[in-house]
Amino acid sequence: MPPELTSTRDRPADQDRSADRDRSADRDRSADRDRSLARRWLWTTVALTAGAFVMAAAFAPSGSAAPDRGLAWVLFAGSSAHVASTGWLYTLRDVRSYAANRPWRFIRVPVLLMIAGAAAAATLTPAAMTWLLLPFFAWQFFHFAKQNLGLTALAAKTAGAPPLRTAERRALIASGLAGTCGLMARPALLQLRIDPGLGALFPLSAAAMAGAVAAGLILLARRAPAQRPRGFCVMYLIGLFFSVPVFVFASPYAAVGGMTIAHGMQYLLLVSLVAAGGPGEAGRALRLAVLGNVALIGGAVLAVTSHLHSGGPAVRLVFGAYLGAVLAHFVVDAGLWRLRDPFPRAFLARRVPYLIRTAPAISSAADIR
Amino acid sequence: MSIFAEDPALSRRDKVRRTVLTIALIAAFLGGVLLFALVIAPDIGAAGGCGGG
Repeated sequence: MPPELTSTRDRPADQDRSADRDRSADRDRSADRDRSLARRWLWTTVALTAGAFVMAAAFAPSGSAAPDRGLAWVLFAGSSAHVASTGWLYTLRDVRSYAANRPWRFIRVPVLLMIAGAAAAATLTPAAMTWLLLPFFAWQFFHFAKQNLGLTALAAKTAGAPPLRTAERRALIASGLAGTCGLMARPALLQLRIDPGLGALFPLSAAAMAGAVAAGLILLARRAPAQRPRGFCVMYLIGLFFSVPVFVFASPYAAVGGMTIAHGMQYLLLVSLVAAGGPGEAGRALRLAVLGNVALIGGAVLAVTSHLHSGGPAVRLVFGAYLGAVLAHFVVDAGLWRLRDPFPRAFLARRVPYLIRTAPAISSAADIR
Repeated sequence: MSIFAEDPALSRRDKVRRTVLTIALIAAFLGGVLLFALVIAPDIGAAGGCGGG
């Protein structure tokens, strides 16, 4: 029908339908784009994690020899630089406001940990301090397990799979704890020269690891095929097998280095995406540049101070503050990425919306930490 | 107004300052990476830091 013959009542209706179609097409395009970006995050995380383990196993020096320059630099990025990058989050105004509203987790406890670490290192002998490093590393590897749990929960969300069930979460945490117990039983894998007399715990930990992996595999297989998309399965398996090198390799760099690098690279990728996303196109390059410098300079400071464990009390004080700073990173991260809280959800939705929008609403238990 | 503000209506002067700062920081970062990679080989433990001390 020619336009001039269309009734005045029909014309707005046609226009409305056309506008609805346009809006629907826009939504579809936006959803496709979100799914594509989420897939890229997921598979980049998988590639970084797998690459870390392969690199550590391939280039691990034998015995107590130092790693070559390449492995040392990747370890630096995965450990000191990634810890320092948490500091960059405080450059964001909304994070500072959130921290100010929760001063205990985000300000007071981190400061107290640094003070307590400094006081302990300055007053205790280096030998006694080495014993304190055992619980320090236990916390560190529990922190790794929590991140694996969170990334798997996020992978489920982005892949459109149902959230992790309680038993699936327990299997992931159990495998992480088994790896941590294995390390406590063999502190030589952490390059600690102490003997806590827990040698018998190592085979028990290995058995617990095997049990956790078996339980995780059975739980994964019990999901309906539509509920276990490939990306989610790969991320879940990565979390499940993350600590296996502890029981396979005798070299510390092969046993532990891969986990350290993988954890740090997963974190740096997510923080970089946060820096690259969000409001203010013009500020994106500036945010990334600031993040790069904070990670590099802060990482260098942490790396230097990590070696001050055997000087006089004043020097050891700095070493203790370093340990406290790393612990503060664990505490801050455990709060800042907890997706059951409104702020972390809004924080990520603003900066990496494709990781939040691509699937049904988050269950109460889906945390990045 | 801070050049770090997430404000699309920055003045021309602030935009220039932000651009200069961004370039300087990127140069500092790349320079730092190059310096560290070529000159310094970090002594680092398998679990990060000093490897347990």
